[in-house]
Amino acid sequence: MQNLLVVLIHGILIGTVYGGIALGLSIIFGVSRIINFAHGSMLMASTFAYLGLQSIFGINPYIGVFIVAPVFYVLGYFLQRFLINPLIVRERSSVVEPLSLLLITIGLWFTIDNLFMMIFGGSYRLLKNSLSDAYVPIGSGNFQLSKIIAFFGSIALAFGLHFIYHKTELGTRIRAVSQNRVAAGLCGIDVYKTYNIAFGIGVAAVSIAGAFLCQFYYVQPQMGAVFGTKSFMIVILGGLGSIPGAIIGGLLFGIVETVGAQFITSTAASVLTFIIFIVVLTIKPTGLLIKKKG
Amino acid sequence: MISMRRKIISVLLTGSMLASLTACSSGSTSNGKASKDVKVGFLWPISGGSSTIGQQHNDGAKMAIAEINANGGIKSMGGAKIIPIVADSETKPDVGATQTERLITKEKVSMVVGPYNSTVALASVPVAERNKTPFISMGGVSNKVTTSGYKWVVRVNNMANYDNREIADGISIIEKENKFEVKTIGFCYENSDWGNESAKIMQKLATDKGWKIIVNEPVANGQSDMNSQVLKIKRANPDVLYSAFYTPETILFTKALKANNVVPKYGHWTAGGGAQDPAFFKAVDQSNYNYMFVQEDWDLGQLSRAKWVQDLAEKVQTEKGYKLNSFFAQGWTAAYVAYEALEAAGKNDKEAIRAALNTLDIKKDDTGKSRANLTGYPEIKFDATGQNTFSSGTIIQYVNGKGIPLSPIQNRITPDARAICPIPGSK
Repeated sequence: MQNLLVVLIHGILIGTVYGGIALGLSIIFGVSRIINFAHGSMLMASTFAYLGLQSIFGINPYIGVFIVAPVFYVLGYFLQRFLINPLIVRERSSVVEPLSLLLITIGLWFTIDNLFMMIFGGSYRLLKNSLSDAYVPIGSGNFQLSKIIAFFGSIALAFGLHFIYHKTELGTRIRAVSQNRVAAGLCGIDVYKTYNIAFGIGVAAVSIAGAFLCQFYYVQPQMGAVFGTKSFMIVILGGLGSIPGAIIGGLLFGIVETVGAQFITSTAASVLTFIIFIVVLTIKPTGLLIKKKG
Repeated sequence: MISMRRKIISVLLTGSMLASLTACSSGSTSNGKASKDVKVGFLWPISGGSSTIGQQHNDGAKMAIAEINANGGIKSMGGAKIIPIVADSETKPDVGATQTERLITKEKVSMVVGPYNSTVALASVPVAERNKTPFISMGGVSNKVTTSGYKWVVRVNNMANYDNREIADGISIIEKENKFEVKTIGFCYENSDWGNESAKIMQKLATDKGWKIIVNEPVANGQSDMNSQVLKIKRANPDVLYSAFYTPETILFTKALKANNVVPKYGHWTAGGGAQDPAFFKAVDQSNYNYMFVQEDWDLGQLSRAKWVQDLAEKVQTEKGYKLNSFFAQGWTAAYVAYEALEAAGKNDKEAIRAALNTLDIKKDDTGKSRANLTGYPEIKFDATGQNTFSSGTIIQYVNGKGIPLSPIQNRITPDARAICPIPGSK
């Protein structure tokens, strides 16, 4: 029983990390209906930024996040402004999710990954600092301190984003655009600027998740693919655009994977997450936390 | 008017004939040069999950080719140079097969060398077979590479049977020397051709030796966390833990073992893969692999015995920034096997190269007179299936960051070297 509790805590910790990573993707999709396939690549790029800050300037990622997140916000903002918005304008609103937008983020994914591979090579790097190898005993288990920080960090990130969404004027604009971009535009909201801001926030959010992740996971140009695919499933499971949905979806994934693997093989437990994904979508196609319109 | 036209036509015809003759003569010159040099295709996982391993294979092969060419090239072909054409399998079988096809049909290579991953080998070898092109397999251990009846493939390194026999024998030797008795064994391995086949063979050997299998955990590639698997192993608490993973999962697995204080009494034994990759050792802290046993795909003892290997190790450290290791050695030896086959064939003809490969016999040479066998196999000689029956590895144990060769006993640096087993800190 105690062992199962330890397993459950491990599942909760990793699940929250999944949720934290998925938050940025959920925001971007929620607002502009763009499926950002380069989400994993942006996560990877942020971990390289933290690695660089630590190895060159000795800045811990938890401090480095105050440099990296604003930079990634600006990057995200201009990516949307100069790369994605022109395509939206070209395709106009006649097509809800234009194919070219899908392809451009796929192109971005491959470009970023291969660029990093060319520059840094395929080697695996681990951040080494006083926190990366610290453990906290809880019951009969031993937990990485960096994962516990990642747990609280991801929850704080979700609350922060929820606050921006629901308690600020910017959040009202973002929600208005996500609900009806034409109506929001008619009300005087600059729709494209809101897209830029939302994309910037999404990319900044994933870079914050990168600060937590790189403390216990390896940094490598293709690491994004591991979390990118999971993030898509989590966001769809939790409900596209839902902030608490991303965290709950992540938790569900983490717990099923970890606890399930104690009774069946871990490969079968992974299949179980896919089965849950299919079942939930069949019963509730909008995801766990999004109510059906009308 | 007619004669004028005839004149023009005759001038044009003469011109075109001269032009075609010139083209022919220049073609024969360039063709002559092209046929003199020999293109050899090298297929490695330069990107993807095994990228660090593939890059080291590639480094070894390219350095060997540079040395061969600098020493006068293929003497039996009038000093023809070897031109390496490198292709990236991306650690994917489908890409490996496509690249093999490209190397053979577009690049017109005389043979293909590679590709490290068993899954890639199983997809690429049939392509070479169909195109009647010699394939020197290096790295992939799946038995099926040489037991499927292919005529154009030879494998220089161990097959999975050999690898696991060495591990089982290693456990038995240490069991006898350190006076303990293994009763239970646990398995955790990647769910791929290599991992599954290796685990299956080892499970058969374990059963034959009377070790009870109390945990069996295949793991899919691309893991984000391995605590769940490790906690399962912790609950089972096997005497011996067997693992087979490539680099990323080896990093996560050993970190999770450490985090959860999982120390199997008679050791964590790995079938190589990521546990041989310098990138793994660079990435993790020494405490993650202290007392770990690794099946190395080469004779590590050469680094202490052979001067030429020591010199080469220094060169690799200076030029590439990492320690000479089994992957570099395999890339090097594979390139030299290609060269020896071309030298023996005496002509750039695929059938002749295949025949030469079948009769090749490269001995181990600590003096460095022959620099082909960097892997340190007692011999490189292929049987009727194409398998080098002399290939062998070494079981080493990492103690305070240093690999100590332990099995087979003849590969030990000092005869009195002993394993540290039971493992300190085990319960």
